[in-house]
Amino acid sequence: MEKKKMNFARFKQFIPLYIMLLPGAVYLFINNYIPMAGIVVAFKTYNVNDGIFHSPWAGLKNFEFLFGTNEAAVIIRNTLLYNVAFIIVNTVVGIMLAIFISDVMNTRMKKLYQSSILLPFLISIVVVSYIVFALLSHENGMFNKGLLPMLGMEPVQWYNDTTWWPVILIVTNCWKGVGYGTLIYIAAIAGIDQSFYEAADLDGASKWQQITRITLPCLIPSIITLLIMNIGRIFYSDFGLFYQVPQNSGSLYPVTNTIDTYVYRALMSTGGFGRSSAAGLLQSVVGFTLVIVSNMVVRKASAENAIF
Amino acid sequence: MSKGRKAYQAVINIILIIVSLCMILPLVLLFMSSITEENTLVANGYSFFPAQFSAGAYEYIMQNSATVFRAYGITVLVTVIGTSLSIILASLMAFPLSLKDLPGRRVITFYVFFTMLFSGGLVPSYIMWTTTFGIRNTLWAYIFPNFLLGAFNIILVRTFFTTSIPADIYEAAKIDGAGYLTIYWRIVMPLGKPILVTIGLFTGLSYWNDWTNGLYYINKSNMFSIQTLLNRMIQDIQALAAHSTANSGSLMQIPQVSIRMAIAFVAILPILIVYPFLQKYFASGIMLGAVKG
Amino acid sequence: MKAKRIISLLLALALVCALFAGCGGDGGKESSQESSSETQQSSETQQSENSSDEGESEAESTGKVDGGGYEVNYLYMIAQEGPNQTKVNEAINELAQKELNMKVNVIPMTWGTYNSQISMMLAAGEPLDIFPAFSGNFSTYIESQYVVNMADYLDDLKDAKEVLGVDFNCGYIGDFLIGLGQMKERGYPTGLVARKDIFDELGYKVEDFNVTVEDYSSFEQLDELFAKVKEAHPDMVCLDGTSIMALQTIDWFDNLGDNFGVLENYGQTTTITNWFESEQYKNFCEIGSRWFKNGYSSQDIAVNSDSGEIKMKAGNCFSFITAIKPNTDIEKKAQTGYDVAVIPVGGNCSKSTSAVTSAMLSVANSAEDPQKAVQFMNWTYISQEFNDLINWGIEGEDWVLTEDNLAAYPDGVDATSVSYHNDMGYIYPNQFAGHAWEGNPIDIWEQYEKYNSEMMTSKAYGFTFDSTPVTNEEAQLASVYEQYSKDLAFGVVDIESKLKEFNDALYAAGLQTVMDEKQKQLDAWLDAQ
Repeated sequence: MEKKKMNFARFKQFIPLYIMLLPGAVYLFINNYIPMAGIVVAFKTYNVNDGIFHSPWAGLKNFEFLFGTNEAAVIIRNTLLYNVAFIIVNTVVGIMLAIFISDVMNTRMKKLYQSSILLPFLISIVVVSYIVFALLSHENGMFNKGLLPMLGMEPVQWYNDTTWWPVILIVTNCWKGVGYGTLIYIAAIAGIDQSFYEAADLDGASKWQQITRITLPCLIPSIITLLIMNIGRIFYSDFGLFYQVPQNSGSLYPVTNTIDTYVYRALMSTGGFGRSSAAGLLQSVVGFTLVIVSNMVVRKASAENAIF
Repeated sequence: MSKGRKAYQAVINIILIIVSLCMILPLVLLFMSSITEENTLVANGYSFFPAQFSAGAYEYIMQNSATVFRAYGITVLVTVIGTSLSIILASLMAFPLSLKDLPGRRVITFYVFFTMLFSGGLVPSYIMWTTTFGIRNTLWAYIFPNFLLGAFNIILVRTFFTTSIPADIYEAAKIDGAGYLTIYWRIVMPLGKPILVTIGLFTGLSYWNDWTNGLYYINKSNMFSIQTLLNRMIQDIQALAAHSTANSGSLMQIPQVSIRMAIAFVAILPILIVYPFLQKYFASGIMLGAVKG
Repeated sequence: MKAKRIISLLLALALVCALFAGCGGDGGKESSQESSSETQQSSETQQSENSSDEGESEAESTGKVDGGGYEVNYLYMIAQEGPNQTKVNEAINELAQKELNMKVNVIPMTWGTYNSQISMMLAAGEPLDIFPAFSGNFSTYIESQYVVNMADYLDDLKDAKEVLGVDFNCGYIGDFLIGLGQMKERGYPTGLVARKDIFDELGYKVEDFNVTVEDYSSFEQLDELFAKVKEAHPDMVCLDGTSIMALQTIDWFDNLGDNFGVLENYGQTTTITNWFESEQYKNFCEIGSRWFKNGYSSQDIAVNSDSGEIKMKAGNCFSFITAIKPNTDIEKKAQTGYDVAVIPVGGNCSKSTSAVTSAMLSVANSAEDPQKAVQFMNWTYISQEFNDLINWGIEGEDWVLTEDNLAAYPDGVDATSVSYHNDMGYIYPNQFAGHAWEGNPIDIWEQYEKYNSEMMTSKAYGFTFDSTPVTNEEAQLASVYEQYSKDLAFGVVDIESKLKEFNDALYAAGLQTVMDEKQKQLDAWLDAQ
């Protein structure tokens, strides 16, 4: 009896917190959870008269187009490998830039750097594809007409040659997206207790020691959070990056075809609510599984860094 | 400053200047292309030093200057309302979730996080937003679907709160008799400024850059936001060129290649202008974080 | 600082309240009622103007329908939104009320809007009566019941049937009449559009050329032309744009809706084969490869997305390959600013279903009264005023009638200042009923009809393939086609090895299944004829 009362009293004290949670929770319910009911369409032959819930079942038919092809293995490999590369490169470069920018003494330069790394973030991927084309065009490109002859090298048929594309895509992605992570890390570094560094200075620690002993350990929670969240998107790919930037060139498909571009090309003419839902569901399930696993691993290692 | 420090400053400044150039130069190229004469652009490709200049692309955009300015207005309104709401909602959710002793914390976090992993797809949300909420062709169509509150932001903010705000501050406040709302308002919000400014910036940019909501939910030109308008222009020009059988010459008037660049530039110009002012808050947020300890 | 925060919180609260208040009223309904009541009281000045011109007023003679005040939601394509759109909407409404006693809720859409919204509008069952549908989507539309089977309303389509003649039947997929085609050209022969100034300068005449698929060595005439151009103008790109012979898949054979399993030789056979394995395809690819290797075609041609028209307009492109029709030279002059010589490539061309069904006007399932919608659609095929209205806008403001009975800009109005102008007759019901634009021959529509009637006809003309049983294969094939078609057609890869790879990939993606299904349906259709 006594204990129950205590619990209720304890609970009562949290009520304001639950009220604070409420508006966001309601929004997420409406915006994210209600439409999730639409996932059933992946298993249905949709027709508008019967609606989402009463359309006839189709079993796994909507998934067939994803696996029926010889391409399936290539597509999945590309999607996974690129995402892994993106996560690693963007994390490393992002942290590096964040540390550098935080250490810049000159406030004016600091502002300049901070603004400039965010600029590519503002340019739509279609425009990025034009910029890349300006560099790589066979006819007028700056590489083939300017840079390579200057270095005494042969022009490259960029859009027919798969060799360089993994690098080009990773660099383009890093260039466009690194500002995002950098700013988050800068904020996290700003949150580190300044007295740690003062103490380290007094002890005569080198800059490198300060980075590895203070900055990086303090960044770990942010890094893990970003990492787990990126792992959830590992089966997704930025459509524009893999479709627009290589100019949809057929010879490059072996290194540029990902799940999203494949689905787009396959459904471009035939369409189909059911099949696109099926592809989406597959991406979600893989991401979900990986996230649960990685969160479990993190939880084992250090409970407070796990996301949930 | 010691010698080592000076060398370190020099090295990082050089690296960062190179990085900044990589980030800025393409934008310069973009701008130069937008003022390159159309035919020169098609014949010679993009160049930092075009042979012939022309303001044709901007003239074409400015033909509808009333629509363009109206669209800027709508975008500004949407960005301001959306971002303010978003910051409030995200911090209101992140604060309770950052408290380790909140019963059900893990479940609720999972409830939030799960929304990142599964989505019902476009069509179901479209049906819901249009039929149940009737947001088609309203301002809300830009604000509500997708962008208002993302799990990503909530979790980032939560992580920041847990790691950067010492729990003893809360204890001290509680002893002083402060309720959770007071703690949220007086302690968490000010101390959380670096991350709130950061996610505010991201949310603001995504509202500013968003053309998808406009694409799906808006078909009245007096409700176009700037991105919707510009994106629509590009798409229409492309579609018209692809289906071109026109013989009255209307298509010939449009600078089809330089306009893409001009449009991209028109869309980001206001951000370039406003950013330095925003950055004052941004930098002060960081300073505040730094001073805090 | 604190005040600012409080203000922002208040603002947020006010917004939430506004939102809940907003949910109550149904904005969409209100506005449509408003627009229809507006049109009821609008003046009659337009009518008196229009009735003065002497176009065949067939609508008067045919059986008049009484729409009983039904409101048709009519979606149609526009080139771009002009200031006179509202006036046009009102005029359409007024016209329909006078002639049919129907109201029209006009939904004008630009291509960009259409492409991004139509599938969701249909899936959500939004109010819609008539809309243009594109051939790739037909099986999805039928399977998802987005469209009404118009075969149930044949009695209401008599006029349209008369206008379309035998082309009317192309809309049938089995027993399902998915929609009606537009009045336009029915076949798309291939041609090379070249700059006339350079062409003349080198002393060529169009008559000198006889490039035919009977003899692939005849394509060397073009090689010779390109070589001379290259010699005289080293900076000129001889061939650019987005098309070449092997991509003109609506010309050399009846493609039966997609390119996977076709009737070769202009559809003069009834056996379905794989064109990509044919000698013809290989020959085309090899010619493309020759042009690429010799530097005649642009080095970027396989990844270029700017049309040949844009390239030519820019000044350093000599020619491009495209589908041609009776007034191609006039069209291309308007689009590129150069006088052009049009050299037919390949020779023949046949009339196939795909030319009619590429876009069809369909009745949406969400139509409240499909019969009334069909009646309205029927009327759109015979009303001159309607076709002129949607294409050229308000007479006297956006266009005037010239002495030759062609439409033209009024004095002081041009392409940039006009308030409404689409020039997209190919997507409207019946441009032949309306007026053609200035610059065309006076008898342009007769020329079109003659052109259409003289064309060879595919043996499968009128047959439309129902791809529902093989949608998964179709999806995979589409992806394979995307991967190989451009590289092979423009010859930027090794033809021998890539061609084999391409065909292997097609068969792996289920080409044989699709071909078998096609053959089965075609045989059944032929038996029924």
